[in-house]
Amino acid sequence: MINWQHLLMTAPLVLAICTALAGAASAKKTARSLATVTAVLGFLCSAGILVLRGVQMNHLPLSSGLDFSLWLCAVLFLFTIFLLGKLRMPVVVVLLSIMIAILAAWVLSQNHEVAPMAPALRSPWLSVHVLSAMLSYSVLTVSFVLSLVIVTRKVDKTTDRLDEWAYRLVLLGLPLLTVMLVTGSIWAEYAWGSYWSWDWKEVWALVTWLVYALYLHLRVGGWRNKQAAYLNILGFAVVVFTFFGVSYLLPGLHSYL
Amino acid sequence: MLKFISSIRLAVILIATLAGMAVSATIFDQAEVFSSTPFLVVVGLFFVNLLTCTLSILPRLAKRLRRGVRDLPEGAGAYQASEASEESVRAFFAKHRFAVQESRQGEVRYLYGVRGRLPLLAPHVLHLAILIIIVGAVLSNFGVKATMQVAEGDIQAVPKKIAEATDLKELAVQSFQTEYDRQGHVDNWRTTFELFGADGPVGSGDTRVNHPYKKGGLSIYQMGYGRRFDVNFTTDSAETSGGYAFPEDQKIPLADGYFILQAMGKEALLYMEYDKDGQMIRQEALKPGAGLNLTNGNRLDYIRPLEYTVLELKYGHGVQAVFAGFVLAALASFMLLLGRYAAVGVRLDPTGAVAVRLDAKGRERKRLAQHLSIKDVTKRND
Repeated sequence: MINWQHLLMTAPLVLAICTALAGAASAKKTARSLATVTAVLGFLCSAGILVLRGVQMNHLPLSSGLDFSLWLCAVLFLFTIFLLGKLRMPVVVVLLSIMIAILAAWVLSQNHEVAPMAPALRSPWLSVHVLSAMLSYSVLTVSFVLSLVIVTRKVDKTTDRLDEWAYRLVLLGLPLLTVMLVTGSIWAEYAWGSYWSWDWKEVWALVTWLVYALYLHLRVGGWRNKQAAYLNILGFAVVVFTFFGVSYLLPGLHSYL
Repeated sequence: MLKFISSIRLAVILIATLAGMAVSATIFDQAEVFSSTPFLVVVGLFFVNLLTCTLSILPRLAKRLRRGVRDLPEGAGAYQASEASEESVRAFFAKHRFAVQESRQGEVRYLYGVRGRLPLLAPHVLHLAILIIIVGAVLSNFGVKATMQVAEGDIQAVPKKIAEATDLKELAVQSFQTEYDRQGHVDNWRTTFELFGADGPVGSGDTRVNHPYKKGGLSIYQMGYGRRFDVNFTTDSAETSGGYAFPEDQKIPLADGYFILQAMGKEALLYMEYDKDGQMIRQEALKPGAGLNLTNGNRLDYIRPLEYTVLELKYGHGVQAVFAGFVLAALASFMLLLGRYAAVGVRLDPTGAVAVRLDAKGRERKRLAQHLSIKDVTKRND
């Protein structure tokens, strides 16, 4: 008997790999078109799975790490489509597709069962909190990929351009992180009676915010290109630890994620 | 000295230190780090840095927001000849939603287009929000918090520290219910209660998870629930005989072993008796009103199940300040997303010649220079 749900869950991973392969040759028009098609399909599959899960749950699928990652995959596929047309740099497409593939592989390893939401999660704050977290993480992932390219190249006009993009994305990501922290704190006050409990997820979300705040302040102080890129990479390492590391290594109030 | 205290350099040092300390809490004892003097000192310094920075920048910021075309700073560079016509400049301003002011000096007319005033203000609003949040966090420390376990229908004295901080004396739980959604899953728990002061009732309300009762500085949260069993225990000793509210799933000692009580459905209980070696020697189901003769002439009469609710009572005014900071921080975040600040001064000579001065940074400056057909030679591209 074919497990259709599991089969559907493999689609984002397969399509991310296809996008990476086609993206590697995306300097050529045919390969670029192919990469765009696979990325569009990847987005549609990720969004489709989310719709199906939403129908099963009877609400927006936002209450587990798996759902969060599926949202991330969908948004990152959209970014890939945008960057394929805008930047025309195969390496960026390949790196971003690899990031999606890693995320999609992790999604596959998770329990796909739809579980009823705990009463504490049944709050209007859930949507704003999780969606702002997801959007900030996706924006910061793209910024990280651009910084990764910057540190592997000699400083030139291209790195200047990538640096400006990476900066603008952090400029977008930090306010979203702020919204995530603020809405999370307000929600925690209503649900747990305390807006800040020094839970590990909270601590590391704060560390993430501080690192990106540092990035922006150092840019005002003149940090550009490789210097700024290294700090941006460190920021993303903190994002990854906050999402995966804390969930696996430091359980707390957010351990259902 | 004041310059350093309000500087970005100090801000960078303090932000990095705070991040480093938060990371160190993962390795060392979390509570020790966040309540330690060095951490509080760094937060204090950060507050001073942010406050002095915000205060020192306010006059310049106000001036920048109020200025007209002739106040454009020298750093914005000299007017540069543009190939654009007056019409195309006006069309550009309209298309990109610049607020435009016009002025005249002799025969020469000036246009001053500005946009992105809100994004310009955003970082300062965010700084102000952080200051308010820190003040609120300090105020929160003066608040009091306590937990109560109250069974349905019972009345209890509120914990001493809450009674001292408020006029409350007692809390009565009128009902405690589990609410279910359409699929039959637990949706929430609701406690309905009445509050009493020294002279009688002072208020009533209900509380659910995510929907606490809030009035004045008092908050009551639905934190949990549990079940006990109201029983009458009769032994040969008057000292141990009497009414008890035994908890579920806990060992209750007997002379030669112990027993455990478990819920069976909504009303009944399961009595399980064990010997000293932990071997089960008896198992009985009891409905409310039923009793059991135990060994050594003891007797247990089951009266009723007691569902109790766990409430957290909190009193303090810091949360309001913190929430005000949160609202401001969220507002600043949206303001940051509204684009970037740019100001354009345009000189229109009677001959029809157009010259432009820019006050913008980075790619925004380059984009403006391109659209307004000037070759921007100033070095304000950072």
